[in-house]
Parts: sequence; structure tokens; C-alpha cells
Amino acid sequence: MSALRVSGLDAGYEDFQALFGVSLDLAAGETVALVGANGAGKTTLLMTIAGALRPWRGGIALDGTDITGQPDYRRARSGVVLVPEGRRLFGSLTAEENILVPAGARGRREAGPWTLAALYELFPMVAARRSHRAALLSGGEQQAAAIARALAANPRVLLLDEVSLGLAPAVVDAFYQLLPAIQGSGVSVLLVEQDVDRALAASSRTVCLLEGRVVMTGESASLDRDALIAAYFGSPAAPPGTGDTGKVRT
Amino acid sequence: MAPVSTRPGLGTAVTVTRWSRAATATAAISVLALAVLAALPYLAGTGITQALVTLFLLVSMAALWNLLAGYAGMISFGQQAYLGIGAYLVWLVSKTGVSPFAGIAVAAAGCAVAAVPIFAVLRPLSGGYFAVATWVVATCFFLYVTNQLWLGGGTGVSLAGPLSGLPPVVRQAYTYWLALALMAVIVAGVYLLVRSRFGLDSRAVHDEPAAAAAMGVEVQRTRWLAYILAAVGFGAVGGVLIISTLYIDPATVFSVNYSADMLFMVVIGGIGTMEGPIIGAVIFFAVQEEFSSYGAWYLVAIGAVAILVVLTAPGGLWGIAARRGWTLLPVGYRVRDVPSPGPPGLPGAAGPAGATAGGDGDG
Amino acid sequence: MTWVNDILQGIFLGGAYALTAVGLSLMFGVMRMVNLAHGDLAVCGTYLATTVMAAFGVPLWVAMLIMVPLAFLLGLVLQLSLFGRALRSGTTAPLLVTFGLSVIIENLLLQTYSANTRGVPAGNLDVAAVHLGGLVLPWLAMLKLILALVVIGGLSVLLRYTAWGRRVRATSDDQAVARLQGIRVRPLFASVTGIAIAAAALAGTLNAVTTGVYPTLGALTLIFAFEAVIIGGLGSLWGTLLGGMLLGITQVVVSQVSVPYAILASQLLFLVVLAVRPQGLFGNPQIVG
Repeated sequence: MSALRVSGLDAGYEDFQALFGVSLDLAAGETVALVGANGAGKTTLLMTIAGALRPWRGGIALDGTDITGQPDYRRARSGVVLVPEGRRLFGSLTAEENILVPAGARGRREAGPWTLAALYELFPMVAARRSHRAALLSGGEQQAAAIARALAANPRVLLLDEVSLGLAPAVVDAFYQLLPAIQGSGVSVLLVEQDVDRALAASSRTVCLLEGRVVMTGESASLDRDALIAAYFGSPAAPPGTGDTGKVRT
Repeated sequence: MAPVSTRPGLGTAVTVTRWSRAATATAAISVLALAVLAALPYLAGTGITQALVTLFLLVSMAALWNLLAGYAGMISFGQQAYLGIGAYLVWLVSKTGVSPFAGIAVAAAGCAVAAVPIFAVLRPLSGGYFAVATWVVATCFFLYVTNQLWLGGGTGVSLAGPLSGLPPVVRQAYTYWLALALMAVIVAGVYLLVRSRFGLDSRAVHDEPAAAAAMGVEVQRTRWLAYILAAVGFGAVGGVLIISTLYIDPATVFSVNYSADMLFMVVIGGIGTMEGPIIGAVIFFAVQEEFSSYGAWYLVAIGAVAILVVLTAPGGLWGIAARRGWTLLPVGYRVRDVPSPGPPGLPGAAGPAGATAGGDGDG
Repeated sequence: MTWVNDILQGIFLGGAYALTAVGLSLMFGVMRMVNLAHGDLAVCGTYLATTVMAAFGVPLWVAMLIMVPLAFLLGLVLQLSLFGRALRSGTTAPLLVTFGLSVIIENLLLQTYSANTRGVPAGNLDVAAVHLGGLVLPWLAMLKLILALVVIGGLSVLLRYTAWGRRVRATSDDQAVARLQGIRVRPLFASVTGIAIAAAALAGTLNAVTTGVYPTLGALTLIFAFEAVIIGGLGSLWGTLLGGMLLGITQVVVSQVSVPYAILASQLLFLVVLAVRPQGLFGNPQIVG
């Protein structure tokens, strides 16, 4: 049974449809990278999985349980937590208070490896600035704090939306060096990343979206880079063998 | 109306119209109705004309409040300030020997002048702050006038003296025609204004101020114009008010109850439409006439209806009709496909497709 | 020495204004909602208290022990049924809905209790005072100031140091993300409104001991509360206290010169602050507490 299964998702905003029949699977403990050009629907997909957006059609299941009908706050408590694009920390709260916020899920915060101490060990730069207001943290510190905040809920599935956005390469490197520690705690990760190389390096599988549809999936290690780039941009010269049906390829 | 533009070379010709057959019918009926109403003093007693004066003033106030709230996006709970200023100005003018009827012009002009410093202070505010601040301004006028003996203090002032020269029936008739004319001018004025460049600008500002400004709309000037014109209108209404009732006191004329009435009329009728406030005013008037003798319960009921409308049908009564595309007083631009002859064997382009720009009927 | 006494009375009056205004300030800071029915709800609480006193023959403080929790419940119900939906309906809906509610309440009270001013019997509380040298320290006025400090101080502590307070501040910063982190916004807002209305009812009842209560008192109550909040700066509870003080002091000082213009003077103070420094003294979009 997969940790997260998305089936035939259609979603959008008012008149505008952004996702067309998107399906994907996330196995327990797996990291899947989601790539695609701007406007391909990556953030929309994450928002729909997290519950901020109601899908028009299709389903989402967590550990086999259908959560499609659950509103966003319930999903977070069920174990699907999003680190939003642009961090979006609670600016007037301190870094520590941000991390303490997801205490909602009835002791979930204690029911897992990510205690406050463990988080501070993983993110020492956040520990150093724990009493500072989040709005005053640097970009890298904010990103770390945002991830810590999500992990504090000890999620089953962690959704990371563009963690490298607006950060210096050295900072992004540092974060990706920490990713294995996060993965090691058993959480499944769905990672949106503009930088295709990093995405391939950090994940076991990669899914490519184009204009709201899954146009390619594959093992990250063996993915043909040129094929991926063609799928990314929707080049008509995409070589055969690239999936267009939204089905998972093992 | 003749097509305003076509798009050759695109396969389908379109026309952009601003008018409709229903609108022509409405205009014709309105003119007819005005004529009938104008003849009423010769046909009906003063009981009826007196009641209709109240209706005409309600329609005027509703149309003006909707100009501010529905089109320019400024909810005000302080327009009664200008009712009072206008009324007191008419009284002051009458004390100099000039006819109160002529005083209306002074009332309107005086309110335009007063509106300038007031709006200068209120300008940076929006939403609830603007609304309560307008209420505070009206309260300030109330507090000031109540303490000025030369303005009659808390007891109020009377126009009975200056108008005693006229026989009551004649005075009633003049008042009636004045109120009717004022309503016609205000409704027509608001209509023309909303149909004009100003109307488009103000609705753009209301919806998306940043985008509007980026497109060159003079956001501030639009808001200024709306506020001052509304003040002028309310000043004139206030002038007619004192002529009609012959007596005002600060507690009544500066009362926020007027704002409550305006809100109810416009919200229930249909905020942001031309037809809505008129319908709302008629309904409010009817309910008031019928039920006010039972005490304040009718206000409780109207308040509850207004809340229900805001939460479940925000477009009001006319909004329900407008959503089906009905419009008697069109304000926007309608794009319609023109049936083209086409080559033989092929069907012509579809008839009225009607993408309506400019939002007929939505606020 | 009398001017010192004047300032003192102004401070006491300010405490009363602040106590009345704290609920309005809280609702605005957390939910960005201007509750135009705030004053009328305070008046509602007062009428409820007097009714309880008349019906059960209990003294004021007992009636208030019953009334304040009921006011809290009323706030919960209003938020869950009306205000929440209004907030979700757009930016003008809350204004129209709360104004409509205000009209409903005033007219209901008018029909139920008549327009006459009703007294709030409080034993000697409204006249008892401590006299220190040339200073007059009325017990009731001091009580109101102390309560203002307790409520504002208590709320600040709750907001700063409790999990509830953390959730409130987080939701106030970014409601969408708060939901994504598992915060249930509806019950949270309900608790905030409950506190706001309870505080308003408490303040209104104590104020009415001096002035009596009548159905349309809510309008002036709202205006003063609103002005205290704006002068102090949106989002700052202590700012509201200071705003109330400024209003109170202005009013008392001017009343020494001319009683009829005392209230007008505080209105003009408000307009001047609006013109010169619209964000208020401690203008801050987030709750400071």
C-alpha cells in the first residue's frame, strides 16, 4: 500500500482548470521529485494534496484511507503537511513559536521522532535564532524554520514546494545535505524543484508535469535527461517511451 | 442601436452595444410615469402627495448611497451629515428673505464646499474605518449644532414662518414637484455618470485599485468626484426635507437611522445596480407605510432580511434578475455576434452571444 | 491641584473607554473585522444584567457573574452563525451584516424595554469615593481602570504564553497557512469573539451604573470604542488603553472649560489623529498584546 496515492485529479481555480487527470503514487519512505516549467501545475498539485484546494474530480488516499473529503486542517492532522512556496512563516511569531504551532493533532507532535530538540539538532541555524521573530530571519533560516515547522507535526507525507526559491546556492546545498536525515525518519517526501539536476539527485523517482498533465515519470537514477528536458518543455520531439497516460512506471 | 464596432477578418462580426430594447421601453415608461406623477397634485389629495414626497426622497437617497457604496466602493454611514447641512442652509437662506426653494441651490453648493475638507481627512481610510469615520463626522455636526443656540440648539428650527405666505395646498404642490424633479435629476444624473468614463473608472477602482491605477485611472480623482457629487445630492435632499416637514431638529436630521435606511434599501434592492436602489426604496417605503404603526418590529424584520440577503444573495433582489441577463437601465457594454450571411450552405454566425463587459447588474 | 485631579479623572474615564474598546480591538487584530454591533452588544449585556437583577433580586455583582459567561456564549454563537460567514463573503459583508445586527438589536431592545433610560442599581458604588488630599478617587472609576488593566494584561499574557495565544497570533498572521498547519480556525475565532463580547458586556454594564442604559446607547459606545482603538493603533491592545486615556483626558479637561463641548472635543481629537497619524500611536498590523 502506498503512503500517498493520487488518482485522476482534476483541479483548478474558478473557470481555469490547472490539473488534468493527474495520478501519482508515493511509497512509504520514498522521495519523489515533481518537476515542470512555471505554470505546469506543481504548486496546484501540492495545494490540492494538502487540502487547500478542492479537486474537481479524482481522489487522494493516505495509507489506503481516502482523504479527498478532508479539509486542510484535518489533512495536516492526518499526516499530510505542506511547506508552502515562499516559506510563509508566521511573521510575528518567533522561530520557536512557529515550530510549536502544529500542536493540534492531539499529541502528534510527541508521537514521532521530530521533537523540538531533534529539530534544533537538525537545524542549528534555527536553534541559534529561536527567539527571534520569524520575519527577521534570513531566507535560509526561514526555509529551515518552515521545514522544521512542518516536521514538528511528524507527518507521514511531507510536501516541499520550491525550497530553493530565492536562496543562495550554498544555502540550498546545505539543505539538500540535510534531506537524507529527514528521509531517514520514515517520512515520504514529494519535492517540487525547479533545478532538475538537484531534483534527480535527491529523489528515487521523478514525475514531470506539463500544463497540468503528467507527461513523464521514471526512476531518477536512470532517467534520460534529454527526454526529461523535452518533456519539461513539451517539445514535440519527445522520444518514444515517455509516458503520457499519467500511469506510474516502475 | 447601430453597431459600434465590428471585427473584420475574424470570421464573425461583432457589435458592441450599450442599449437594448428593454432599455428603450424602460425609458419610455419612465417618461410616462413622470408625466403622470407630475399631474398628481391636480388629481389626488395632499395625503398621497405627502407620502410620495417621502418615497421620492427615499429613492434619491438610495440612488446616491448606491453611487458611493455600490459603484465607488465607499460605504458611508455619515451621509446624514449632508442632509443636515443642506437643511440648515436652506433655513439660514430663508432667514435672509430668499425663498427656501431657491435655497436648495445654496444647500447643494454648501455641501460641496463642506465635503472637501471632510473628504481630505477621510481619504486615506477604507472599508470599516471609512464607514465609522463618516459616522463620527456626522456626530460632530450633531454635537455642534445641538449646542448652537443661534441654530436652534437641540430644539431645532422651523420654516413655517418663511413659507407662511403660500397657501398650504400650493406649498404642498411646489414641494411635491420639487421632490419629484430632484429624484428625476438624481437618478438620471447617477445613471449618466455611471454610464460615462467616470462610471467605468470608479467600478475599476472598486474592484482592483492597483490594477486600475496601473492602467492610468485616476483613482483619487474618481473617489473625490463620487464623494462630492454624493454630498451635493444629499444636500439638496436635505433642503427638500426641511421644506417638506417644515421643521427639523439635530437629533433627527443627523441621525444614523437615515444611513440604516439607505443601507437596507440598497442592499435588499440590489447593490451596485441602477434598478436595485429604486426597487429597494419602493419596498422599504411600502413596508414602512404599512408596518410602522406596529412599532419598531418592522425595522427588526428589515434588518434580518438585509443580513440574509448579504449572506445568501448578495446581489439583492435585482441581482437575481440581473444574473439572468435582465437589465432595464444598462450601464455596461454588450458584445454580440452579428449574424453574418456566410457562404451559401453554411449557417450564419450565432445570434446574441452576449459576453457582457462592464458588469451590467453586478456590483 | 485641580488639574491633577482632572488628569486623574481623565485617566479613569480612559480606563472605562479602554475596557469597552478591548473587545473591538481584539476582533480587529485577530480577524480584521470591524464589529459595528459591538456597542449594542455591550448594551445587550447591560439589559440582561438589569433583567437578572430585577427577576431574581440579586445584587449587581451576582448578576454580572451570570451575565458575563452568557455574553461569552452569545459571542461564540454570533461568530459561528453570522460573523464567520460574513468574513468569508467578502470585505463589505461584515460591515453590512454587523450594521444590520446593530439595527436589529437596538430595535429589539426598544420594543422590549421602552426608550426610557434604565438605571443600574449598584448600592453606593456609583458615588463612593476615596478622598486623598485634593484628589477624588471614585471606587467605580478605579474598578473600571483596574479591570481594563486586568483584561488587557490577561489577554496579553494569554496571547504571548499559551498555545491558544500562539494559534491566535499565527492565524492572524496568515490564515491560509495556519489551516495548513492543522489549526481549526472556526472554533478559534469563536473563542475570540466570545471574549470580545464578554468584555464589552462587562464594560457596558459598569459604565451604565453611572449613566443608566437606553436602547440607542450602543451607537455612542461604539464610536468611543472605535476611536480608542484607532488612536491607539490597530492591533495593539495596550495602544487601545492609551487611546482610551487620551480620549478621556481630553474630555475631562475640556469639560472644565465648557461642558457641552467636551464630547465634541474628543471627536475632534480623533479626527485630528486620523488626519495627522492615521496608523495611530502604536500602529501595527499584527497583535502585539
